[in-house]
Amino acid sequence: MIKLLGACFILLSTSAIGFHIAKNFADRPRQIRQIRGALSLLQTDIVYGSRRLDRICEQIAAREKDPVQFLFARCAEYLQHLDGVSTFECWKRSVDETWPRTAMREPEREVLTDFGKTLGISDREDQLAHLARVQTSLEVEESEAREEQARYEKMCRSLGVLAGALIVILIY
Amino acid sequence: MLSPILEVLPLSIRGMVESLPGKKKEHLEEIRVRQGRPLEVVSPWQYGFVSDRGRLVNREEEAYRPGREDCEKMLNLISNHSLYALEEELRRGYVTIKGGHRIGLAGRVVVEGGQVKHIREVAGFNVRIARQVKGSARSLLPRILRGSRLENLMIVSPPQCGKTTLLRDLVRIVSQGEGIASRKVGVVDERSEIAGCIDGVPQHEIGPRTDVLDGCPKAEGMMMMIRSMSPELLVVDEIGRREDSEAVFEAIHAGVQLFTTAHAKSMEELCRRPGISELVREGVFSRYVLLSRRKGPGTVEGIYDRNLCRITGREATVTG
Repeated sequence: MIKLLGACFILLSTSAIGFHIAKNFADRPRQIRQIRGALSLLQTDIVYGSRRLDRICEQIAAREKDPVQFLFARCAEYLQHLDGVSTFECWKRSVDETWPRTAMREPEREVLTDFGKTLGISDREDQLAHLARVQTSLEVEESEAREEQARYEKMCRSLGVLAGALIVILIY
Repeated sequence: MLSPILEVLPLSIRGMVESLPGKKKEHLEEIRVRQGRPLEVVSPWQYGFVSDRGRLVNREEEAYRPGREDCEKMLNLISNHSLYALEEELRRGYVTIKGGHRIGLAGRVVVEGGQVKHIREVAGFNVRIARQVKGSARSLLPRILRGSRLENLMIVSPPQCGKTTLLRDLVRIVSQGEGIASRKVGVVDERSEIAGCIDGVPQHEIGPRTDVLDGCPKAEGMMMMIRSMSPELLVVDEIGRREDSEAVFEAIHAGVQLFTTAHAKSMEELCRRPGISELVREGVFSRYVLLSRRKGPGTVEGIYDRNLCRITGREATVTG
């Protein structure tokens, strides 16, 4: 009886691990897409609204879901309360703090951090050019992430279950 | 009163300005931040440099020198991290902040097609502290009234003599109807000095019946005002270009009274200015008030009538 219970336990836990990894594969493209949506909002507000960056971040945070919400809420807070620290510093800190909460990987992080160096410190045309560049870079990452998702998501799930089954068979 | 100004100063400089002696702080007119050069403060009677402990010093060597980082931080604070939103301001070379104070900017200018596009690498800031001196124009009131009619007035003075302060108070008095019948006032505030608007809302007290066209070119703005807001009194700051005088003629003949200012040291100098001499010759203005800094800003040097005859002598009324 106890043996059976243990076997179930092993099977469940390996499947859970498999599903979790699979979920990360599924989350990554979704989150990149979400970031891209937020950045296009940012673009509209910078180019047509020409509103203050901290207000824009607040508004984006109010509209989006976690983790994008967390990123922009943090950024708005830093922009308002860190006295005169450069915009890049505020942005970088928010990105660094947001990262553990996301399924995104290093390339996206680099793209976003790099983008922070230009955020807010130039005229509209320039901002537009930088935003367009980030969008293309993120698009590349997104399509890559989607490919990976198609390739590995299902595999991870079944691998989890099968690995559990294998262990159970071996030790039963 | 200084708090909106302290907010835009980087922490290092903020501390120094805050620890200036109370009396000095009260009378501050300008705080000048120049990258790599001593931090300067200007009050009505003197200028001085500020040491890193926040003491006033006369010797350059003892003064604090703001660095590149200070300037960058200051620009960040002024623009709220959004330089793209200040395009128009960077083209004009100054920013109006909360409280109606103005910050002039200097640095490397980017030109496109012969026109200033914006300022890059801002390395010089001039924080001009705006003071509203309520009641500063009260003593002038009897001189600019004929019966119940207002005269067309021009305030003449060199820069920094309290022209705009006086004009602002006149706007408030006429709009509130303080001692006279209240009137609708239209202010064309090309340089955001009279009303000090932020997002279209005046930061100075300019009366309940005052409409402001903020940042609007004077000539065009005067016509817009007359067409759309039906003011009884039109107020513009610093006329001087030819198109301004044409608009003034239009306004006067549209039956609107006009208060305005012009830069000049004396009446003779005023008559020599090409844009204005014609207005003077045609007798458009029926009162001229000449200001100087002889006894502090706002010293009335004389009041003149249409034919440039002095009505009052050298009055020593300190109005502001």
